Amino acid sequence: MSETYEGLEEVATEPADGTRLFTDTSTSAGTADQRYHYVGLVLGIVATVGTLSGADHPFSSSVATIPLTDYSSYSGAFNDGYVDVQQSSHSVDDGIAYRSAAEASAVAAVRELLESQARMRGVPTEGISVRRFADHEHEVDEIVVTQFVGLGPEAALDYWDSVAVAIDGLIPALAGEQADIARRGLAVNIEWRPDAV
Amino acid sequence: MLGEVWRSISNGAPMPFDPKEFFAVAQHVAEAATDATLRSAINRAYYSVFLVARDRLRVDGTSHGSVITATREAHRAAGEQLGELFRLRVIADYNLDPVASDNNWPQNWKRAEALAKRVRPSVEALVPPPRG
Repeated sequence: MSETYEGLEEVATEPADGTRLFTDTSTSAGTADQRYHYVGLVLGIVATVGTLSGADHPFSSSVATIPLTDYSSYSGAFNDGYVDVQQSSHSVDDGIAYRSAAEASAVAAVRELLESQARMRGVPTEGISVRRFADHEHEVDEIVVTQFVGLGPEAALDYWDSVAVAIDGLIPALAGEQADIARRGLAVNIEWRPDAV
Repeated sequence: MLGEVWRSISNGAPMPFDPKEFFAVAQHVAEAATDATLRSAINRAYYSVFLVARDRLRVDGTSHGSVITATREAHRAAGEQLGELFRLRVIADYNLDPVASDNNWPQNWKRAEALAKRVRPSVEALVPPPRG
């Protein structure tokens, strides 16, 4: 299942390192919400920017991931500059992605930070996924940005601790609404290799 | 020993339950290594940390979202890792047919176990927010 959404446009790419920037193409906050579809799910919606080329990843059989080292393998997934959003078969409704331009740009900022942190710390990465996780009974509704790293649990948890500090540093630099989303509506997750010690 | 100390300072009141015991239960239950026991173990592992965080941060009620948010605000890494434990627990408890990447219970348990071990000391060290 795959849909194309207006409003998110890939405006810059850096094939060498996979850095990707997106901007909101809508100009009116009033229409943005109409463009972005909200789906209230108990859990499991997967909204991933790009396409799956990491099918052999041990934990990505249905979660689309973007290999950071192979830009060409997913660049073809973009459709006239619009982001192709893939969902998992677990979704109970069509549509997802971002509810607002601020949400999209907060995610883009966090992705960029994760990628730069990994580069800076020499952490091998295997991709990033973006999922929405909602459990309204427990008042949880957030976008989960997961970076897959080629580390074992302890090293990955250490890296996660460092990333968390960097996120704390990033938030004050974001614009008001983006900062609020990054603070309360966005989770940063580090997934280690299950087979690594 | 701890019980005696507690009784001496609490006029004989029973010692409050330590959620850490839930983690011991989780590890014990996980030994059976079936999907059902591993799902149950993840649940107990989560509560072994969640209850401590709720207590330390004095979050009223049972809103998991509020506790996770408060933990993130007090200690981002611990909050993020508690959040991941929560997601694993929700899938374990409620989702009968998760997507394939979420449906590997030995793997999910190992992740939850590592997360709980890591998060617990951070959460225990949290300082309650000032009253008022």
